[in-house]
Amino acid sequence: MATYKETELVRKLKKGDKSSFEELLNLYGNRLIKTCYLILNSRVEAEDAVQETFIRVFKSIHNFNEESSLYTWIYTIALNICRDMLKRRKYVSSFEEYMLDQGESAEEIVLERINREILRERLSSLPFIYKEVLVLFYFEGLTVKEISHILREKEGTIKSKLSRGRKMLKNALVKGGDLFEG
Amino acid sequence: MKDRFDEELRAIMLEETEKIYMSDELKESILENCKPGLIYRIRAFLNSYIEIPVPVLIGVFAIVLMVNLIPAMDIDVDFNDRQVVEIGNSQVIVRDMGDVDGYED
Repeated sequence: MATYKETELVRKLKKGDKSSFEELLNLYGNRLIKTCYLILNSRVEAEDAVQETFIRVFKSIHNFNEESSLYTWIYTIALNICRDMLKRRKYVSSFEEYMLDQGESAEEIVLERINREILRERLSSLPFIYKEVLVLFYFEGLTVKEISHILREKEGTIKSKLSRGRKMLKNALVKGGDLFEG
Repeated sequence: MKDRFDEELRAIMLEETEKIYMSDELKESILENCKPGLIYRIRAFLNSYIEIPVPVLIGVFAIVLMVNLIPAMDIDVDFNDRQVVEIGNSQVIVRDMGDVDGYED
């Protein structure tokens, strides 16, 4: 649900008000660059992604129909750009490649063994489709419903991706660092 | 409900991005690339609502009303107020009112 402030900002953006451009950057710039950085693992690429995102936002603000909130729309654009960048790096793996059938029995071992360094390393090499969901859920604090709006996927799919992403990281801890599928 | 693993994940993400922020250079670069061009201005105009202050609207409406209604008002014209100048067998009718069609004998 868009707030009055956001509606007002969109109105000013559509009018081409220069100060509103700056306001938008101040409002979402830092959050967005952090999210892009977590997904791309590169500061330079995160900056490029953010720059491209905002340029696209400004150029196509007239197409924003205000059915979703502004930040949802911006994040959809940003994640598409990140996805394209990763495709160019050929880092993306298909969803079907990662079918986990490992049960939750490893839960206790994981909790004992949480090694922040391994987790940090594995998080950075997690496939994009899981990482984007984990970042939006844990870092941005978005709900499954909000993520499903951003990624234009069903809530069930998002839940499934969240669960699989977590499992892959947990399994990595059990196996001492290597990502595997169970 | 989030467990210790979830909390660790979030903590790592926060740590990882602690020193990541949008620099002023990046901000300036974005703003430089986002200057509204002619097409943007045209689209902004086409998408904008035209705001007309109420007093101006009332004033314009009143003027339009007056311009349209005054000629149609029943102005009392005395068509007998005329001078007839006879020149030989001809008569020249002289009257102040210009509109004579339909009323003239």
